Amino acid sequence: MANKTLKKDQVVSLLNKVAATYQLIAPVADDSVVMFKPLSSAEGVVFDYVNSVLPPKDYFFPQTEQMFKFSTRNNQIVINPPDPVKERVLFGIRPCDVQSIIAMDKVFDREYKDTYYLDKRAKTTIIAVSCTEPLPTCFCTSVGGSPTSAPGADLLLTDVGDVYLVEVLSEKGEAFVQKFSEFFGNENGEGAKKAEVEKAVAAKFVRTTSLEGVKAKLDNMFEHPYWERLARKCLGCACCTYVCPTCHCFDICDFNSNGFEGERFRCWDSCMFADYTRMAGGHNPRPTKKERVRNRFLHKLKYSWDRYGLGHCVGCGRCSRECPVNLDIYTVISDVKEVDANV
Amino acid sequence: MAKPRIAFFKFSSCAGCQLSVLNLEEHLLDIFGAVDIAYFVMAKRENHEGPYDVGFVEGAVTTPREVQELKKIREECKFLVAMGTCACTGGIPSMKNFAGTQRQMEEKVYTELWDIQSIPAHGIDYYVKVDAYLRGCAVDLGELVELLKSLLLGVSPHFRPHAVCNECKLKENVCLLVHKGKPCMGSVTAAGCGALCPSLNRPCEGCRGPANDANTVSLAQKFLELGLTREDVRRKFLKYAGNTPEFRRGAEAV
Repeated sequence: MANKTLKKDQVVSLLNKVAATYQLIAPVADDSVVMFKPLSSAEGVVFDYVNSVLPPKDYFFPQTEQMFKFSTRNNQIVINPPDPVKERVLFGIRPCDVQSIIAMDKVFDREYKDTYYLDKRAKTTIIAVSCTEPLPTCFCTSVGGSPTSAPGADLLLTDVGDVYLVEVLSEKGEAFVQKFSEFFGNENGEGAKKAEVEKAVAAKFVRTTSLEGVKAKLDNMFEHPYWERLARKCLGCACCTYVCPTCHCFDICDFNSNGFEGERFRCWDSCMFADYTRMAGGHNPRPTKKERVRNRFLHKLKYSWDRYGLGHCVGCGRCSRECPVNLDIYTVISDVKEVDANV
Repeated sequence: MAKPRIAFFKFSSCAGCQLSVLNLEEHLLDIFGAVDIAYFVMAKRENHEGPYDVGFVEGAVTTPREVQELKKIREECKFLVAMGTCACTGGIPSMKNFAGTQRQMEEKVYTELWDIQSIPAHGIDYYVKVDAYLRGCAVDLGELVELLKSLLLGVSPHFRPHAVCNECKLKENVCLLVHKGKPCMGSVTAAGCGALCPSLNRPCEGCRGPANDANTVSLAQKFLELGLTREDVRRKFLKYAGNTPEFRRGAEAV
């Protein structure tokens, strides 16, 4: 489908109309913190934010998610599925976060289909918005991403002045444009303006490196003393994994509300925790922080390439911003390039 | 089946944890329906002797007499819970362990010393086997209910030993340490409080004691970078859980 345009002053009315039929999820600001929230109208939606503290992965892979409900009254076990998910529109996510969803798809959509994730994924239309103001910690271009393209989204909006250029990237996006066709105009030279925007944004990146050679080097760095150096600094607080848009470890537990009724749920877990890999009987294959820190960085920069053929660091810079002791994956990438792998 | 008999005991502490139990208004009737509170001096006029099924002990052990009482309580209770930071790690009373000799401490507090017998403050597991720990100053009521419920159901309670940072991140709070330069101890302190203080813009004081695998040495260095003095850092780590090796390492790192 050809590119479309959307007038900026029409966006709020569009979102209001969307909210009437879909569950609208969009960025709102609370103090200085931007977060993605389910909204009943477009009131409060922020358009000029740079990035949210937590990624929108919560809407595909929630912090805590019911897997089923159970009841054991009258000697009968009854198991009920969780409440169904509504059709949703996720508006305003950045291209790095779109890339992270592609990375998560590879994890949850394999031989084993994770129906909880895939159901939410299928019911969500993703409207991404190009980044025009990267933060000093952003480095999506260094890991193969782009602030102005979002393969995997359904629509991509780019601010080109008074209007957004709307790139229709999927059938779902096409259906959306048709459903709300009164808001969309035809493209008239905005594509050329986008090229200018692209150039201007690219020049604003402070952090530029590349992943060239990093994976090949990491292949031989499993026992490298570099990990010990990182581990001494790491607090083990796991903030990095909670703010990471591609981290997907989870734990499964039962909640029993009164002895008869309850639910099984899964919730975010983290490879940075000692008990994450601890097995029944006490053995822990990752006994110290060194193994855990190494696992996190190898998972992002090596294992993901081995398993899925793409990187699990999308360069959003969230872990760089939130780490209390500045253990920064960007610095790790640079360090790995420089250290002597044969030590 | 008879209702399990529950007892609450108190050693050296402020009694705040016991008081918190009474703040469980929402659940109190359910709890009274499910268990028999046999001994709870703060809450009841009529108290009964042991044995008990579950004993909750509040407070640190700071005198030889308390050691003897604690040992008797252990014999009387099938399941013994350390309730609150003082009972878990020595808590606030344990500050005295790092401030001078026992005699010096006694002289600071009391004028008549002839009948004062004080020993270094420790959590109850220094003397007896403890079956479960409820951390926090005061205890988190959600965890207390979770523990009681799990005991009644005969399952393991779901306590996660991770850092307060996790709960803070999940609430999407602005990080006090990273973005506001406040000396927050959340990254080394066990979660379970729902990041109570940081959510109210107050840095974590570490009242719940060390999280799983806490790297206090690295955090102590970070505090120095923030401009705290060595004495400040030492005091921070010795405030609630100086008896634990993790927090002691943080105090000694600078």
